[in-house]
Amino acid sequence: MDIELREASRQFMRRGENFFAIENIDLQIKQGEFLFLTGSSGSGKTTLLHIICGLLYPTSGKVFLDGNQWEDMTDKQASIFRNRQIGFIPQEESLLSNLTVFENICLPYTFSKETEVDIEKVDQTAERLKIRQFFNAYPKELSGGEKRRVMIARAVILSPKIIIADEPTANLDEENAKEVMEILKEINREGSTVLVSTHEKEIIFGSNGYEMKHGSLKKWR
Amino acid sequence: MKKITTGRIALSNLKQKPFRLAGLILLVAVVTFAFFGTLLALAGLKNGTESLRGRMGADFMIVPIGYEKATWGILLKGEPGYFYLDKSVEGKIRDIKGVEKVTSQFYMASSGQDCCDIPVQFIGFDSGTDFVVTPWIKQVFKNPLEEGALVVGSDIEVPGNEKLLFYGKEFPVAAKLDRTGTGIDQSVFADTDTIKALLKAAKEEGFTFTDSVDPDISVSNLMVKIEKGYDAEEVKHNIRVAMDGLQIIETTEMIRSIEDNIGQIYLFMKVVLCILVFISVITLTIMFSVSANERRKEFAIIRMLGAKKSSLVNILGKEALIVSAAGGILGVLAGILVFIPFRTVIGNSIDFPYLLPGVLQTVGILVFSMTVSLVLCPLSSSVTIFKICRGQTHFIMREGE
Repeated sequence: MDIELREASRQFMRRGENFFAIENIDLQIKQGEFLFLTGSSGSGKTTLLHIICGLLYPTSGKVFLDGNQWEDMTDKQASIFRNRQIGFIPQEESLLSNLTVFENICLPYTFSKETEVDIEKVDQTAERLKIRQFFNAYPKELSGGEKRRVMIARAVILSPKIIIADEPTANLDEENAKEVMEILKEINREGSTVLVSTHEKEIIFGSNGYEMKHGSLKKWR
Repeated sequence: MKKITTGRIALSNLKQKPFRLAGLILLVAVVTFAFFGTLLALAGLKNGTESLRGRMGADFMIVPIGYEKATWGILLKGEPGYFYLDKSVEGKIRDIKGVEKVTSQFYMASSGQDCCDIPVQFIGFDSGTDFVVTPWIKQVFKNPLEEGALVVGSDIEVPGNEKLLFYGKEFPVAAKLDRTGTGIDQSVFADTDTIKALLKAAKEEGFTFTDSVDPDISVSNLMVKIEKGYDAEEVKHNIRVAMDGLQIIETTEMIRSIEDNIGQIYLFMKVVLCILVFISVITLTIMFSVSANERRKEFAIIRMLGAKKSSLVNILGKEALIVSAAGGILGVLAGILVFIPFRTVIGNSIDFPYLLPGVLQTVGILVFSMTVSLVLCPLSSSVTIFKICRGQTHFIMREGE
């Protein structure tokens, strides 16, 4: 899936004053690309990712996903599109604490009318992410790295065309961070477009990407 | 493999806070219990008044002056009592212009347990002139009453041999009247000859109260039916002019007075019920709102996974419905356990005719109470659901950063 942003800006009010979280962003991501989005905290990375996911609309400019615009969709259409086409891995721990690991992974199926739970796929994904043994455990029983892997499994379970990961290695030790990045690259090799935001420069070595600074975007390779 | 349903998500959400869940269920249960009990009591009072109206075949009751309260004690609450006036009054009343029918009744209260199976109020009627008691008996016993036969109210326990022992003599029970919710339920009816037999038996047993009473010369009250075309006030005036020392009770006036009093009770109960429902809705709204606010991030996550706004409505609505249903069932069950077995005690403690509704009416009240409880939580959570659906996922996800 191609992603295109044309002069996308998003303004917020902070202490009674307007400021641009992102300003006049032009961005094109082709199907199957693996891109990093770097920048310090507060540079506008999460805002940009949320705008691509349709969790937030730009105050000006346009966002196209294979030619579709979020603004043109009804809530139902946007939800179905997000469910089927986008796998989002948020920055913070986002598992439902009252559901087991298995149920958390299967959650996207709940909101997908057409798709039945593919138990074989759930098994394979969990095996690949080394979380198969935690199926009956609750999120509170897992470590940070294990939770992150469950979030990745949940994001990829419906084989979306785009995977967006917001600081997927945050708070992870080196080994776990490496493993998570390997998984994301593997998913990309299978054909999904992957966009990863991070402020950890060591994990982006030798990759393509953009740097965000004060809401503006600059290609660094 | 089945999907995780929104119902499963709702249930697991509720289970996370068992004490809060118990509090919510208890609140709904209390409202349902109050609703069920109040509606049952209101229906009981209404049925009791209707029943009393149906049993009042006469337009006037005439009793000795000062005995109006005692009369209602006997008729409404089954409080044993007796008072007499001269039987000759009956003939004089019959001759008064505007009077169509007159019949007399004879009250007698049985003594303690050493003489009788049970202490009861006897109401003797003149089978030759009666137009009040006989129609009730006809509803349950078509044949003419045998000599010495009794007809008992619904609360009178009759032994297996269908005989009751009074003053050392057994009297056959011909029939049991339908429940009325009045003192009639605790009374025993007999024609004048049987009353005489009872008095004779008491005398033989050495009871001295029989010396001063004789159904041939005394009656307790006179039931009067007005001739068509005559005004009640006019006939009352005619009676007063003809005779002194009589208390004339207009039955319709009396029922109206009971209805007025019950009307006040109705209003009070309805106001209390409305206040209770209002307070519950406010409390439940606050509790749902607090609970949903704590889980804003959870809702943002499921929106991010592709849940439609309708899915959020579904999850929150089901949570509310589960609480409502559990509270409703608990409240109704508690209501059944309290109000049904103790219906007689409740009825007796009320100074009004009280006839507990039949099965169908009770089921109707039960269904209505359940419906109210089922509406309670979804109604209370509607504001929260609206607010959650309006919340923007981006801002909720970034809260606390």
